[in-house]
Amino acid sequence: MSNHLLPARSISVVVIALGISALILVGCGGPKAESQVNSSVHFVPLNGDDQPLRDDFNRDQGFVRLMLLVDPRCPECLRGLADTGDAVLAKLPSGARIKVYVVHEPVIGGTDKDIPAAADLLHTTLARHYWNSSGDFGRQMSQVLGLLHGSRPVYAWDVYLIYPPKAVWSDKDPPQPSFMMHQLPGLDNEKFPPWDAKVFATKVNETLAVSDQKD
Amino acid sequence: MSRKPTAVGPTGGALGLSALALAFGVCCVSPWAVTLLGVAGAVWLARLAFIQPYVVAATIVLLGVSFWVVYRRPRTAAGCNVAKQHKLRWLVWGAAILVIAIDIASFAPRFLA
Repeated sequence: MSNHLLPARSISVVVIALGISALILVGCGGPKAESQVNSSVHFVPLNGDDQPLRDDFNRDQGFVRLMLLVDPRCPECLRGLADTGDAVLAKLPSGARIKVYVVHEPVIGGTDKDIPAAADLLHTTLARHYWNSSGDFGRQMSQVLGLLHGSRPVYAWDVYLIYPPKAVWSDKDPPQPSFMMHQLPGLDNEKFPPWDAKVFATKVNETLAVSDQKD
Repeated sequence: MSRKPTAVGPTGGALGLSALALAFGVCCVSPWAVTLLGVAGAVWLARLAFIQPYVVAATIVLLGVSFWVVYRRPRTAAGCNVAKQHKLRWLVWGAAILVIAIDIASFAPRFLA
């Protein structure tokens, strides 16, 4: 009688699974989102001496500075940028003394063409974007931050750094941040806390509050 | 009563969910998500990636249901088609191997990174 028909419960299981998959593949509004990308986002190439980032960093002394290292095609990095935009930058009080530097690196195939779409996730004009085509900056920051998986160095990307207002980039390498978070596997999570937008926002606000008190 | 209807549902569901788990597992180490879903879609996928282990657990539960359905004792001998039952068991075993392979593959990026 109903042998050749699937009962409603079975159908619903299949439909739910297919529905979720379809949502992922179709319903995310990807192409629509890309068509709204602000292609006027300005970015500059980073040279072997980390210029102009180094000069910008030192010029902005007195500001809390965020440095974000991402691949503009990496979904986790894009999530980090979006979280920073939504949970940190969008909630800043007006006139907050903060600067944001985003260093884009080609780790899993990102190119400079991907930067405008990634930059839009921050919803701010506070950020300056840099393109490090050689990827050397990630190796340099790996050493600065001491990113290790066992004894193996871990390339610095998908990393989110906070610098206090007094930090100065006087040596060849960038200074140590006052706080960092990451979304990298294999790191000691005690030493290097994994990404949590709320914690990061709290740390940014604390750093801003301390700098305001000193002023 | 045929067991096909109740076995096909959970098995199909397990296959669908394992594909979803693979999408969550692989999305974050490869650039395809941005190409396929756009930036907003890739961010959405990355934000939901934490549910991957639960999705994998659900595939195992659904496989368990499928095995229970095809191996449970029939209440009556009437209507029991042995050939069909064997075919169904092969189908569930095949799907189980596929689902487990996909589930393992979905975790691979965490260990290869």
